[in-house]
Amino acid sequence: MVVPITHFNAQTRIRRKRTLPAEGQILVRRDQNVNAMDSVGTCYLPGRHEMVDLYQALGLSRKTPLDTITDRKAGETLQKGDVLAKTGKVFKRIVRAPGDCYIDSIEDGKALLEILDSPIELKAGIDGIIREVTPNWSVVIETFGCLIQGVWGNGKMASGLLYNTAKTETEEFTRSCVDVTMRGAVVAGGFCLHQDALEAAFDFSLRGLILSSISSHLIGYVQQLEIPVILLEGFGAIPFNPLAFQLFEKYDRNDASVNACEWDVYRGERPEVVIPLPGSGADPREGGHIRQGTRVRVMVPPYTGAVGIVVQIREGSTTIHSGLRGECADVKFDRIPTTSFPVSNLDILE
Amino acid sequence: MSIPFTKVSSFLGIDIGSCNTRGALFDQVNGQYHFLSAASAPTSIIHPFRNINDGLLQALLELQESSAHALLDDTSHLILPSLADGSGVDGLVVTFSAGDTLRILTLGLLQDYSAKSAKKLASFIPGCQVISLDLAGTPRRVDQLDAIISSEPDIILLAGGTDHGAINAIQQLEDVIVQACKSFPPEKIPTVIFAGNPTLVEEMVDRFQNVARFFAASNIRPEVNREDLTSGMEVLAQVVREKRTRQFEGFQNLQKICSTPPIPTSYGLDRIIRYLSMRYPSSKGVLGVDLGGTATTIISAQQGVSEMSVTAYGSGTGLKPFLENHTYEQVTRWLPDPSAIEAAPDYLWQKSLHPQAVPATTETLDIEQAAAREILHESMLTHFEQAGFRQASFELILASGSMLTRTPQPGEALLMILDGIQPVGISSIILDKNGLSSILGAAAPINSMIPVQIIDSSAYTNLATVISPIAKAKPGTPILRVSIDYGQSSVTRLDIKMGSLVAFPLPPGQTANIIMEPARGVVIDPFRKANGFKVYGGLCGVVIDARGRPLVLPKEDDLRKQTLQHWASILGA
Repeated sequence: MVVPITHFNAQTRIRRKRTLPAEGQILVRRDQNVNAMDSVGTCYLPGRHEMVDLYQALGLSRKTPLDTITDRKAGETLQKGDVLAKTGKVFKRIVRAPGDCYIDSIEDGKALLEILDSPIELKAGIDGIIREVTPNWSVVIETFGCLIQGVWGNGKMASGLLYNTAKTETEEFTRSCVDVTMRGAVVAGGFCLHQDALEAAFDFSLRGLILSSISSHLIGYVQQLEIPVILLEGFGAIPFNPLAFQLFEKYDRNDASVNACEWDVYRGERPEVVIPLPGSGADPREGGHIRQGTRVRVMVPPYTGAVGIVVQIREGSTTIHSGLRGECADVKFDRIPTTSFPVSNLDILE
Repeated sequence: MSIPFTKVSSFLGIDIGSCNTRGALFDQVNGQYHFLSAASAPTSIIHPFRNINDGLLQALLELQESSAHALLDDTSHLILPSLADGSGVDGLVVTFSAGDTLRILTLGLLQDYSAKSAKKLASFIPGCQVISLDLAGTPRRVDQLDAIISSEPDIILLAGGTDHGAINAIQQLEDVIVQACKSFPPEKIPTVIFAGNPTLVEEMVDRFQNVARFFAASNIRPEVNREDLTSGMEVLAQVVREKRTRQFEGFQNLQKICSTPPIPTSYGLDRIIRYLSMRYPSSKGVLGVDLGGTATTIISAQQGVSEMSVTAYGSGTGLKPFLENHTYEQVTRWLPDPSAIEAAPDYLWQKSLHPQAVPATTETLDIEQAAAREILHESMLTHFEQAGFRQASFELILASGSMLTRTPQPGEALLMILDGIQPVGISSIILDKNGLSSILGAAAPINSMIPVQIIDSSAYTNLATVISPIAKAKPGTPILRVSIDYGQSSVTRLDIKMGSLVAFPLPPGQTANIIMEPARGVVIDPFRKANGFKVYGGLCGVVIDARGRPLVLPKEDDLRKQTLQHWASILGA
C-alpha cells in the first residue's frame, strides 16, 4: 500500500511555496535571503462595501449631469479624505472617500466603494533563499536542515531559539518545565494534560510550543493562544517518538521556525518545524510503500506513537483484536513486543 | 468506445469515497445480473498523490484477484469493452463523494420557499458546506455584496420567482452577484447556477458572460407550493463534477470511458431508495442511511418521492465537525466501560486526524460505535426537521457505510442502527455490505433491470425484522404477547415487557408467522392494522425493541452499564 510519509529528517532539502490569497505584490527577489518572519508578499483581501449616493450627499437633483460633480471613474483607488464629488459653486459642498477605497462602480450617481482594509502580509515561514518568484502571486523558498512534521497546529507561525525541555521521551510537559530563561524561545516539551502548563507559555512569553500531544479538552484553549503550537503525535498522553526526541536533543539551542498551520491533506501543507543547518541534502520522499523493513509509526491505539520496523506483511486479510479484519503488518519495536497492526493504522517515518 | 448500456453483459461500478475507492463487479448469466465481487483500496486524492488513479488501480487489482476476472490489460488499463476471452467489462459507472470541502452559497427570494429549496438542493452534495444568505436579515445591497464575497463560495445557487412570478427582485440579486463575481480574483470566481423564474434565464446568460461560469436549471419552485429539484440536481452534479475534475488528476480520463456521467454518491443512493419505495407501496416508505467518512446521508422515500439530507458528520474527518458541535457526554453515554469513557475524547480527535485508521482494540471499536450512534441520531433529527417527520416508521431501512457494514458481529450493526435511528413499528433492516447501492443507482437510468435483479439477489444482507411497538408504560409492564410459529408445530410464545429488547432466532431465507396481542394503548405499528403477519429471517432474526421512544438511558452509571451490556448480549454484539 502506498502511503504519505511523515518526516523527522535530520538533514534534507526543504522547499516551500508561499502563495498570496489574492493577487498582490511580491516583496522579494530571486536568490534573496529571508528570515522566517520576513514578509515576502502583500495583498488586499476583498473589503467591505459602501454605497455613497453622490446626489443625495450633495443635496442635488438627480437631473444634474454627473460629470459636473465628479470626474471619478470605476477602477480608481482613493485614499481616505480624497474628494469623491463636489459642487462647483461658491459655497462648495464636498463628498470625501470614507477610507482608503477602490471605486467598484458609479451608476445613477451612486458610487459603490470597496473599503480597503490593511493589507495582509505573507510570511516566509522558514529561513532560506528565494528560489522562484511568480510575480504578484507566490515565491518558493529553499533551505537545508532538519524537518520535523506534526499532525495538528493552531494556525500560528513564529521562529526563535529551540529550547528542549524534555529529558526523556515520556516526560509530561508541565508548568515547571518553563522558566524565565526561555523567554522568546520555541520550546519543545512532551505531552501536556493541564492548562496551567500552557498558561506558562504565555506568562513567560515563549515564541512557540512543540508538544508530542495534548489532552483533547485543551484544544479550545490552544486555538486561542497567540503563539504557534504544534502537536507531533496528536491527542492524549502520547510521548515523543524516539526520532523526534533525538532531533530535539541534538538541535537544542539552534534556531527553529514553527509553522503551526492546519494539516491540509489535499494540498500537503502540514504543521512543521524547520531547523536551518549548513550543508546540503536530498529532497525528502513524499510517498512510499509499507513493506518489510519500512520504519513506521502507529497512529491510533494500541501503542499510539510507537515507532518500529515492519518485519512482515501478512498474506491476505487478518482478524485483529477488535474482531475486524484487514491487511496487517507485524511491527518490531525496541521496548514492546512485536505486534500486528492494520496497515491503515501506520504511517511511514523518514 | 462504450457499448449501449442496455446491451452490456458485465459492468464495473466504482465509488470514489473520501477514505476508500471501491470497485464492484457485476455480470449477466442467463439474462440475469449477478453481483460477483467487490474490493477497495485507500483513495489517493490526498497529497502527494493528488490523483484518483493510484487508489483506483489498487482497488481494481484487488477486485481482479478476488473475482478471478481479468479487468486490466498489460498496461494496467481497464479492458473496456470486454474481449472474446471474457476479460474486461462492457460498461462502467462511477459515483464520487471524495474531495476538499466545496462551499455552496444559496440565495432565494423567500425564506420558506425558494431559499429553503435552494439550501436543500445544495445540501445533497456530500462534502460541501452550505452557506445561506438570509435576505430578510441582509436587506442592504452592500451588505449582500459583502456577505457573498466574505463567504468565498465555490458555487452560487440562486433561486426565486415562480414560473411567471417575480422578476425585479431577482434582477437586483443578479446585479449583486455580478458585482461580487467581479470582486473575486480570476481563479476564485464562483460558478453561478440559476434555478428560478425561467423568464430571466436568457438575460442572465448575457449578464454572466465574461463574468462567471453560468448554468441554468429548471425552476426549483415553479409554483409557490410545488418543489421540483430534479433539474437542479442534475445541473449541480455537473458543476460539482467539473470542480472535482479540476481537483483530481485522472478523473477526466475516467469520465471519458464511463457509460454515463459520474454522479455524487448521495444521488445514486437516492435513486435506489426511491425505487425501493415504489416496491413497498405502503405509506410507511423506505429509509436509506449511509454513514460515510465525511458525511452522513439520510434519504426517506414514499411511492417514488424522496427527501434527502446530508450532514457534515461522519466516521472519519466528519468526526471533527461533530465533536465541535456536540458534547462528549452524548457519545460516552453509550459506553459501558469507564476506561473507554475516559479515552473517548482523545481517541475520536485522533481518529479525525487519521480517518483511514481502523479500530484495532475492542475499546476503540466501542468508542467508534458509540460515536456512530450519535451521528446517526443527530442526522436523523436533521432529516426529521427537513422532511417534517415526527417518527421513524419505515417498511425497510437500508444501511450502508463501513462503520455499519464492517462489524465483527451483525448484532453490533443492528444495535447501532436501532439506537441511532430509533425506528417505530415494523421494519426490515437490510445492510448494503458491499456498498452497492449508489453504484446501482448510477446504473439505473441506463438499465433499470440491473438494480432490480441485484437487489433481489443475495448481495444485500438481511439483518433483522424489527418490531418496535409504541407504548407509554412503566418499565417491566407487559405490553405485548407474541407467538411465533416457525411451522412444523414449533411455536414460541413470550410476554414482552416495556423496556425490554428481545430477539427470536430466524435465519436469513426462512419465514415464520407472528401473532401479537398488544395490551391496551399499545400500538404495534402506526401504519399497520393487522396483528398477525409473516416475518422474514435475518442474521439477527426477529427483534422486538420495546425499549421505548425516544430511547432513554439510565442516569445511574452502574445501571446504565448493565443495561448497555444486556442489550449487547441479547443481539450477540
